[in-house]
Amino acid sequence: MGKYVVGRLLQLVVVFFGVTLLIYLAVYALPGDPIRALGGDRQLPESVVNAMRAQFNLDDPVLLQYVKYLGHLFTGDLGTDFNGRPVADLMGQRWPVTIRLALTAWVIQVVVGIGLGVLTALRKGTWLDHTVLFFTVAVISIPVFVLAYTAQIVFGVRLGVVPVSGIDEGWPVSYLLPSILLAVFGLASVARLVRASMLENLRADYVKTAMAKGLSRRRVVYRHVLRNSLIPAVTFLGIDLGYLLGGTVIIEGVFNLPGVGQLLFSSIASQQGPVVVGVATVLVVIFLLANLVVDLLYGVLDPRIRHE
Amino acid sequence: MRMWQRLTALAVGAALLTVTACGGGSDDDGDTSAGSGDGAGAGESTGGTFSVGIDEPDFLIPGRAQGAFDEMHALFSGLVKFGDQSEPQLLHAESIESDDNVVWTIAVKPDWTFHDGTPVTAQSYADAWNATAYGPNAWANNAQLSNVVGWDELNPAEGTPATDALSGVEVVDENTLRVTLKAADSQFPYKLGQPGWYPLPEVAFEDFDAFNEAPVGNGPFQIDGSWEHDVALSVTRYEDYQGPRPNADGITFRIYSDTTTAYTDAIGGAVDIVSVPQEKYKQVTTDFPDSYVAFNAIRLDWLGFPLWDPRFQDPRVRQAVSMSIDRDAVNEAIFGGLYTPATSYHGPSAPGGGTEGMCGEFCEFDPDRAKELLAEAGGWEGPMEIWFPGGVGYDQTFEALANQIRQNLGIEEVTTKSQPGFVQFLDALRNQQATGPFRGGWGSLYPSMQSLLTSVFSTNGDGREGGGSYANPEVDALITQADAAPSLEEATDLYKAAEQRIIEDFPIVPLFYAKYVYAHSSNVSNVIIGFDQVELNEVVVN
Repeated sequence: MGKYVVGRLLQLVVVFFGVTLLIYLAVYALPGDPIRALGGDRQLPESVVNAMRAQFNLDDPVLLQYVKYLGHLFTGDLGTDFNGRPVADLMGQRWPVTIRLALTAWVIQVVVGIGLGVLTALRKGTWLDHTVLFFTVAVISIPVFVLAYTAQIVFGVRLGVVPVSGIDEGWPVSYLLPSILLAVFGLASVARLVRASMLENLRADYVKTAMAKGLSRRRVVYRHVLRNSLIPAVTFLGIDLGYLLGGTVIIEGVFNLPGVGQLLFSSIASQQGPVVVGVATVLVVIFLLANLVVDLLYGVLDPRIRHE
Repeated sequence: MRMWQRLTALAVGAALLTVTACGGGSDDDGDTSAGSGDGAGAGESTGGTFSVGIDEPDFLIPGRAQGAFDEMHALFSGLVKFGDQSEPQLLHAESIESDDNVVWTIAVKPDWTFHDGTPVTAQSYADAWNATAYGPNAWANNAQLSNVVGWDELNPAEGTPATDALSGVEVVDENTLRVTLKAADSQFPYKLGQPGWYPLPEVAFEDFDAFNEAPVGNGPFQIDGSWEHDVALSVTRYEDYQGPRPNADGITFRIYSDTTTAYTDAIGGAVDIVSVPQEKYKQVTTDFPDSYVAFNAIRLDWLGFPLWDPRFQDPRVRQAVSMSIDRDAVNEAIFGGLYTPATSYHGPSAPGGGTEGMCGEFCEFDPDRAKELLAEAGGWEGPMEIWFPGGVGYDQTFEALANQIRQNLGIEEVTTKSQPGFVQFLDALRNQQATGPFRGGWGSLYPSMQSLLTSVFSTNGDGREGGGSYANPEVDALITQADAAPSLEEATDLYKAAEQRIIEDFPIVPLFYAKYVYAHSSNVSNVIIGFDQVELNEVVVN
């Protein structure tokens, strides 16, 4: 197990270099001159353009730029955006917002999603099962824009129970509505995954055996069936946490939450290499770590696939 | 989304505004605002604080900032202001004079101080101008000083400049400056309202980056704490301010990444004054029936042409396109009827601009005549592609324009070439890769026709790419004459003559005189918008 983890962590290093290089190349392969575009309809004087190009090493060959970037990285310097703000500061400000939002949404998904999955599996075919099915399908089929703006108008403006936007009121008040909206989509998937998996396992031979041996239904359901039914949900939740942490441009935009999704979106649009690479690299690492945790969790849930 | 920041920075950065209509859904061009002017600020303050929705500024140092006009006018005061007048009003300047439009003497009022108590002197201006004009600083408003003698030395094409001061700027005494220009400029006092001409205190020069986080300005409000990036910027009234006294005790600028969210927040009452995003123009009359204000921006929106492309050489082709567009229909469909269809090459908010019908029949909607003109010019083969930056708010407008041309000009294949973003779009214009009519627009930073005419239509203009890189020596000559004209009236007549001459060549299809629309909550009143955007001093908290 220890050896497996070390091996996986070493892979991380390789992936780190590969991915940062790829992202760097991708950002600079985009057509257009980001510095000249800063002036918009007004051209900036040549002297200003030249000074800025020099400041951001934009006249070097891409590979040399990348090497310079890595060099600075190892001294703890992540570079700056075009407005001179250190990328480290940008991320330091934005990551906490996104992490709060993502974790809140994720916990809602875990608790409500698995709860609904178990409940509907045990009450298969009842009105409860049908109602949950109906609502999860309905919600998934509404575009996130529509759902987010509608919820904002209803709960923020009309009822006034939550702030319309911003993070002024801190966690949890400011994060509640956006987290629920974020969670709703994953939640429906989790519930349906758990339900299907539970139904399959409830019919399995080992359940009949356990029942025949006289174990209580409660113990059979929670100790055996649920545990075995969680593997697909855990896979989904692990990867989903990565997506949630990637920031959601739409929800962050609608609710004016200064998180990394917005940052990444605007930095790509304005071709700010150091910002994109910095944020994306952290994201890649998060994804890889989440995958590692998921793989390890499989072993906990199912001893047959434990990594010895 | 956050892209809006850049877009609005471009749009807002490009635009200064004038009042034309005030609430109640009136849309005429009469000035209906009341209670404006400096006098209102002279009495007692009414107190209270209010909030304004803004984009995240790029910088707060005036010489460096491309947007951020509201925040900047709270923190800094320049030599002149415009308010809702289209002529410069002296703010910190005592007088601005010249005999020949070349050497200008500027006297500033004594006893003004920065927020740290140090005096605002002629030197404060000279230092700031030198920093702005110094090429290696790479400040965005650098070019605003390009007509000052010595600017070329500070901005060599290669290498570092040998000097760091503008030789054309002379500090005569503590309160007097003498500025020598490279070429005569009758509009110089107008230009002094641009942020590149603002002063900076000594403390700024110790560390520009640190200063940018909590600027020490000379404006009616001083910063409270520091700039909380992407969240807010708070200011309180500066009690030693020598200009017109603000009504409110303080302002919170709330930073939004999405203008639609700011608008929704204003409906909910969480923010007091917001700029209305274009997609809400049709709704604002019902959402804010008594509290929206539409301003005639000094901004012209147009359709430019790849004048380098032989298919667009004949002016009749461009005139045909112009006559095939039903501007009123597009205005209703996209802008809720708030814009004004253009009938000249300059909007009405600067002296001499907005000459009714200067464009003649070519700005009128007449599909039959349009088809005739196109046939006379030899007809059209193949597809016509309309270029614009996608995903930043232009999509609907340019789809609509493409439809108009397709239906009314009888060209079967009119397609849109939406570019991935502004960066790529501007690149296509710069490298002359655009293959069809494209999005064009110019917002002037001061209310003089000089800005649009020089930047877009003169041979060396800094915005000429947006006009299809048009050039005509006759136009250049007329503009130069206007710049050197001994009186403003003569200058205005010559600018109009230049406009007339450009219209004869018809390089662009003028579409609309744009407006900027603001809405405010019932928490505030006396919300006046002028050329300097929101007149923050005038706002009264109820």
